[in-house]
Amino acid sequence: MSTALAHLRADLHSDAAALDETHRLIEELWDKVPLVPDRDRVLFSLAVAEIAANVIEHARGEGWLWELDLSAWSDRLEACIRHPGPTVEQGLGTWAMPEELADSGRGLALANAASSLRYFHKTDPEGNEWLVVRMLTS
Amino acid sequence: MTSFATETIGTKLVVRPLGRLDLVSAPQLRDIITSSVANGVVGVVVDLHGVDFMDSSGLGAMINGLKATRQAGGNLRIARPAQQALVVLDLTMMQQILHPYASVEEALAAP
Repeated sequence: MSTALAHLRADLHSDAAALDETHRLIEELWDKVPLVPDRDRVLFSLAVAEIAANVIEHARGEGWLWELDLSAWSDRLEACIRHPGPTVEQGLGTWAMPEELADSGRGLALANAASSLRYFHKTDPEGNEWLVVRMLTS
Repeated sequence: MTSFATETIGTKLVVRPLGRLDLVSAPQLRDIITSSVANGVVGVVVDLHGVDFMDSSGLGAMINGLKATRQAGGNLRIARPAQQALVVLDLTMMQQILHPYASVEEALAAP
């Protein structure tokens, strides 16, 4: 049975400073669960930061807040990112790597390769949710 | 806040980002390389030693630079990536395109 070890959350603006805050919150999580292996830290951080960057990019000019929820369990790491707005078209794609010399379009594919990624959309009120799960390797 | 240092060595440019290479800082790297190519310096080495976090935007800026330098008859090499950047190169299967050199000197000497 998995046990909850730590939980952190923040409401963030859709601007560049939110990326700093995302990394700061992830570091705070590592302070609370110091035994998480390095490789899991790297892969989880990468997936969360990619989704955060995607949300910030998607929200440019919209001015809404988004929510970052991080939790550590005895067997996994989880991040839930929620933001308002219509369906994110990228979320409905295949999340495949683009051709090798493409200079964009890797974010979701990279997040999904680094951790397990799921995307949800709901109406009334309209909103989106990204769930990142990294099962711990040891 | 990510900073960038540049150094011209012979006919090549070495760019040293310090901090995160991500959505926020990647455009700066792209601008530095574009400007270098426009000034005729088409051999570029990105020294990743000071980069503690790289995402797909950072990788994209380097691929953009790779294409810009190649189109001008040059090339872009990367040197000294930390473990996190190596993971990104590995997951995106880009190690063949952006081979990570162990030192700036090796990257500068590469054909």
